Amino acid sequence: MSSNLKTTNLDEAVLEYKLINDIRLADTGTPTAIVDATQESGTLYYLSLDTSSVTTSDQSLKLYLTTTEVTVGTTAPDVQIFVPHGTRLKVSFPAGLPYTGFSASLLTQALNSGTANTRAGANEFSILNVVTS
Amino acid sequence: MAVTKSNIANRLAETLVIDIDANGTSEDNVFSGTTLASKIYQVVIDNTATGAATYVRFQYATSYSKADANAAQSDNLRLYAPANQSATYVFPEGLAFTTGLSFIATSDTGDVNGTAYTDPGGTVKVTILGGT
Repeated sequence: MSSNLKTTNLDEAVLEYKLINDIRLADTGTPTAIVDATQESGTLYYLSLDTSSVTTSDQSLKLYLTTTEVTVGTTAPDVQIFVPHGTRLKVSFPAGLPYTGFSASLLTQALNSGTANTRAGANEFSILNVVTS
Repeated sequence: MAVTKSNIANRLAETLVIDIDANGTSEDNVFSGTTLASKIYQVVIDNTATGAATYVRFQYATSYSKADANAAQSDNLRLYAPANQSATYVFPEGLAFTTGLSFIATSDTGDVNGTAYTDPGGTVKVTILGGT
């Protein structure tokens, strides 16, 4: 697991939710995915992706929800969302979206076979926040 | 497929598109003719009648181009509904699309497909709320 990835379980006696935070999703030219971040199946309720520090390259956020075995460029994402650079994506799932495992990658190539993120600056990082249960 | 489109007074969402039988045949430029939809605010995929996952695959274009390994075009937006379930996606600030919005519904996730995308195994209803 990346040192930039943090997963927190809230007090299950109060709230049965988990928070996932990655402050540098896709911080290299050929990024790896964060794989099976919650280490168990669950339900996705909210997601945000902040690309406000990315100055030129539009991004494709790819979520892999039906498997825990993910290879970027080979595994087809279940959910894929185009996120322009310099914006903040917010998605809520009011009824929840069940997953087998929660994995994510961020690329500048939309095709399943894409493996690269050609963001321009070395200090341009996208921040992922997720709420699951 | 049977698509209906109607305007909704006032904001948030101003144009509603419903496809009661979405499948692998593309619905092209579904917001054509209205000035009240440049963003997607909500998508509901009713997959309750289908025993396998369905993927609704959107391109921000006036037609859906089947992607292949050599094509630059692929999905701008791909949403998923598990087998026998509905899935609701809400985009509170909207997802802006530019040229147009076209989509298919399929059980395929692959970019390479010989002749056509596979239709869902049952009836799939897709509801899209658009706005400005």
